[in-house]
Amino acid sequence: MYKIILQNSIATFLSVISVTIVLLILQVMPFEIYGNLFDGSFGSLDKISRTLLIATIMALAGFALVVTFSTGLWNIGIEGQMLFGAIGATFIARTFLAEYFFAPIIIIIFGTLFGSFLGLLSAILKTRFNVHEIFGGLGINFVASGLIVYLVIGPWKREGIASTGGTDLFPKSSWINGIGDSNFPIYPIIIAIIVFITLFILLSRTSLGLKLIATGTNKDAADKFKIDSVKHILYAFIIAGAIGGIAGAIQAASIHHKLVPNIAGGYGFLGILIALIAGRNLFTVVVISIIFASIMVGGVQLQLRLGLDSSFPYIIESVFVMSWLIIKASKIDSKLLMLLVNKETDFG
Amino acid sequence: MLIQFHFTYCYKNVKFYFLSLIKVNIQLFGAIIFCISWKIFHPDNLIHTRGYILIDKTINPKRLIFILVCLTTLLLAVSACSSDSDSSSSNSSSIDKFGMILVGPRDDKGWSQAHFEGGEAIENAIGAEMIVADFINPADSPNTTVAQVAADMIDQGAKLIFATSDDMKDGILEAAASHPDVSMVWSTGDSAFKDGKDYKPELENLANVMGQMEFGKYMAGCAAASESKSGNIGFLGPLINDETRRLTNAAYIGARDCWLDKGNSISDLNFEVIWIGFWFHIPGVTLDPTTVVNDFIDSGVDVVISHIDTPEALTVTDQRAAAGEDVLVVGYDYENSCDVTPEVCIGVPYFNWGPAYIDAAKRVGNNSFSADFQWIAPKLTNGVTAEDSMVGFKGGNAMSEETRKRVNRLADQLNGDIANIFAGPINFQDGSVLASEGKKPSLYDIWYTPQLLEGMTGDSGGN
Amino acid sequence: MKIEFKNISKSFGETIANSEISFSIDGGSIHAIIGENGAGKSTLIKILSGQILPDDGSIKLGNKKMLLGSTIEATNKGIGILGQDPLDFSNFTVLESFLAGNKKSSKIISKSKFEEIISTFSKKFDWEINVNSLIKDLSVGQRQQLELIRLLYLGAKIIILDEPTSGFSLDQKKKVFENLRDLSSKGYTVILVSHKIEEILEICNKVTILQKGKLLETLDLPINPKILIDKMFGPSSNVKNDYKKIEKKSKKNITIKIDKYSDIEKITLNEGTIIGVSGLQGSGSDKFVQSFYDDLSSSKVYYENEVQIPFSEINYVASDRLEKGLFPDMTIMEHIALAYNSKGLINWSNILELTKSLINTYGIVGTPQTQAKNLSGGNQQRLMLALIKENIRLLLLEQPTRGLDISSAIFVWESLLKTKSKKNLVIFSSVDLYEIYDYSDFIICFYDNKIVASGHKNEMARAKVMEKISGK
Repeated sequence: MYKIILQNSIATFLSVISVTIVLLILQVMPFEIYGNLFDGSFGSLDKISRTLLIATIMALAGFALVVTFSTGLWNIGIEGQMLFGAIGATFIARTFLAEYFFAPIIIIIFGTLFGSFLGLLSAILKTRFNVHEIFGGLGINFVASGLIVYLVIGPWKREGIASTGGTDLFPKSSWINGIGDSNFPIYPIIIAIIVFITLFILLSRTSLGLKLIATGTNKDAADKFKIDSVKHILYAFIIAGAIGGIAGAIQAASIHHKLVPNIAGGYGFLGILIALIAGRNLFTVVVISIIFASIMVGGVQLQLRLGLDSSFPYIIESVFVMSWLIIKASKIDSKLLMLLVNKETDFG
Repeated sequence: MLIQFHFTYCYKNVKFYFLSLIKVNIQLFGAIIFCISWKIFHPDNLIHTRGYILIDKTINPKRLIFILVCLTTLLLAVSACSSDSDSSSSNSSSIDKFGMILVGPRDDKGWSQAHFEGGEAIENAIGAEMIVADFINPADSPNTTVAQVAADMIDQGAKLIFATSDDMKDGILEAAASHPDVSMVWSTGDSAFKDGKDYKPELENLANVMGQMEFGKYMAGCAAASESKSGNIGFLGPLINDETRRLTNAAYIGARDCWLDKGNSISDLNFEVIWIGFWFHIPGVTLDPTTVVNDFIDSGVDVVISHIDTPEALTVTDQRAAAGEDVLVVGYDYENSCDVTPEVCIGVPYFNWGPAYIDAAKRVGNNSFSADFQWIAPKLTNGVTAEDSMVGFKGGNAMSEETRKRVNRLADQLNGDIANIFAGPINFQDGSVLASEGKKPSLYDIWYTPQLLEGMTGDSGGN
Repeated sequence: MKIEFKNISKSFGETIANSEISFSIDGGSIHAIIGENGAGKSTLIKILSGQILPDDGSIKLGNKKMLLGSTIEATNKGIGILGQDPLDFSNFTVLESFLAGNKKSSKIISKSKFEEIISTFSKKFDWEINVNSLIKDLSVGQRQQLELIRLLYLGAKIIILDEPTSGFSLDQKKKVFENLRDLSSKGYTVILVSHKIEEILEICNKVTILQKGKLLETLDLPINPKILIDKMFGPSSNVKNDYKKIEKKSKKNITIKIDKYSDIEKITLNEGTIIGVSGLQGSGSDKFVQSFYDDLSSSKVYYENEVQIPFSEINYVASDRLEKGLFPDMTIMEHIALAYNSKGLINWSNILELTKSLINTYGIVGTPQTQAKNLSGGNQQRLMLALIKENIRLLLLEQPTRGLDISSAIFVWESLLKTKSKKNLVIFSSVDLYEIYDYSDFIICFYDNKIVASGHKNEMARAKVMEKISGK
């Protein structure tokens, strides 16, 4: 355990160094950037709220991916599942239900249902029609984003306007607001915590979770253990889709308050990266989500304060991820750790 | 000279492409590349593989170096491209700051650049420092809302915020409500239009500025029809709303007037409108303007009028003209748009935000800012745009002298009254009347144009 | 080139696979590494070939230290390993796979040149490899031969053979040994990992004995085999091949449908019989055993009244333990939980207790947290046995003792026989005729995917079985 934490610290440290080098190549001051990133994401309650809200959505996307990765599946369709969650949320927000105080709850429930429906679709494509889930997922993303554009400039357009800029705002009663006057995203965080605990129990304490993991590790062996792998692939996709749907619904009801075409915002794909880095560890997903969210939110400051190009946060993020993956793949971290601790091999 | 221009444009274009590529697609590409590399390199996937010759457990050092080199090259390319987009915080000696929220990139040779230069005009005039945020739209910055950007700018001391797109409506209304002490300007909006549909009297800090671009569009349509041989004009529209409908209508009226002035029959004029869905191309979300313009030309259109924020119509037309086709184009938004492809550019109706923005900044300075709704008419003398006019039309290399004269003459006949453009008899697509013979519509009716006009082909965005 | 291991240590979690192992192998010799399953042989070999990074220690080749944990380095330094079951592109032809695996010349691949290389080597070793046949159609032995050719072609100077002869016939084995001797006389270093003591005594110059991850001794050969066995298993080890067989209690009849594989439709036997399916590699005997699990509609086992044994009471133990039988990344405990706690919440403390007791009962070298992939072959097999639940009535075993050393194999059969009375039927396949004769009551002979003979053990003469399975 210590060894893993130490190794990850070394990998993080090395990744930060490589980001720093890239920033130096780009002729900007790394520490100025780090300072601004930190200040821009944690400098005030409002900024903390924003960071946490984005982190919540990223973490949910990451959680969804942890479930499917555990089952040995590449849920590329996560973007589509988030889009569908947002569609589900908008669907409710456009009905009379949106006027009631419990509207946010129904919105989340419908987001979950819509998302899991799309997850199920991926699973059926894979199990019934033998379409590899990466291609099925890409196709499903395409369909979902096509549908959302159709809805935004078609049936759900603003009166007299046909713009991909988005639908009408949801009624205020259906917004997922912060606590009190602040924007602190208490409800999304509660939802994420519930999902976290549920998944934690599912993956570590139930036989269903263990069977999901078993299916992912070795399908042939699962068969010998009389585990129905088809069924468990369905389960994994439905669970992942549901979580993705929640993320999409929160995105719609809490950030944009309307449906916009790119509402998933690339968080689904980011979720894949997060889950890749975190392995199957839910807690690491949370930590990495917060780091990524702070880069994204704080990144706006780089443009506003330092006049840097708005693509900088993406550059920082991608260099970080790439370095991390390269370090992990080439085992530089474990070799370094060996050098550092030398004789003390017995870590337990 | 020409070659140099081409090179410059290509370079700019490449840069623009790079940036949008990185912004929009980095997650997708990244995810796929990482998926694949993870699958290949993940130690767990390899540990029980015994085919040691074919699959290595450790990464090949050469491959590692290769990846690093690729990565560095890519980043260098990006940095080379982005390093010349100058930092805005050059002049920090001033006492005041203001925020400029742009929907696209600040150097788009179109809408956003016109606003950006309006902001630079303030910097030059009163020495205030501009804080710029560009790419603020749901596609490029899904995690950033206008209200958040405005709040950040206010945090940094901005006393005036410009929100420069109709798409920023929800965000700027929210920002204005939560920061009542900070003055804001929502360009193109109607929140301060007292007789308007969406009048927000409670937002005393939010003003609206818009130029009467109808004049510019009238001249654009006129010039297009005057240069057109076939009478087939293609209009590349952004999204459909009141503003785009009335400006498209104005362009049509201009085209109609000049087509008739040339002695042609109205039945030979085909004015087709295609909307892409947003102010600029968002891959996978909007139609691709490049495709639309090519389709126009393929279907026999010989003059394209662009109404979107970015200059794709100019480049495509230039390519087709270079291939020997007799096609021309009218740009939009930015005074120097024609520089992109001067040989095929008839002209450009443009905005000059500087005077209005300087005025707003000055009024904030002397505490006389109020939530005004300004719909500013152009300054035309004999149909020629004055230098400090809010909107205008600038002819390009492809405009003939005959056309120039015709445009100026017809524009002069409007007498500077926007209602004269829409003078009756004039009907909508469904036959309903905008203004009957001898009548002129009200400003309200013009602003909230519900449909395209009779004689035009295209979607009105009706319900 | 002399190979010098110095203080090599490696542990997987709490399992110590290698602990401060230091010894050297002389260049040009044939050196054996022996030890029980789990003694650390495979780990040591994997460290040498760069597949595993040791926790500590170094390896010197000649005078130079080797970069550890890199297969590329190992290949460049001329270390080649010939595995028990060479993995290959099974859908490629011999030639294609040879081309694909070729790292030597990155420029132009000349097909005819490779054809020549393969056929030269084949002639030299008197092997028969058709360059145009598919890899999947080759026998394990032929694949190993191909692999050896590739190693030599790639310039391997140090050749590691990990249990090399399990796929070879006796004649082939002789050829291989001749060739190994030949290679070593030409300066190649050969490292032989084996637990077949006769083989080692036959060709090796030196032997290093590992025990529980530690180096026990390096001895010069030849030596009295008794001493070697004592050293390997400890002095009190009693390796013997006779067991008390528990008498069948019930006399109920049970029928196996075999019409898919034979002209005979079915075989009816007494309950509690152990059926040994004899056949060479690739004869279809393994598939036959597997079909009772995979294809219940055509391969049926039923009682007089046509009652089939339900799927839930059938257990199949695959011979490819890591690939088909176990979850490589999962721990022993998780395997136990999967087998014994198939519904609802998992009570990990109960599972831990159960795991500990099963580890004790089955003598698995590992902790509850050891991942299956870090267990040695014998211990993987023990784990598989531990996962067989009490209520199993039809037990299917595919090559149950493949790759196991003598003591592990004996253990496997002891524990199987202990629970035999509770099982209605045991069907196992084996390439080892001794195993078939030692443990089965009824013998089925396979050749070319067909049953060529069957009968009770006492009706079947060894010579006849031998003939039948070789297709004569």
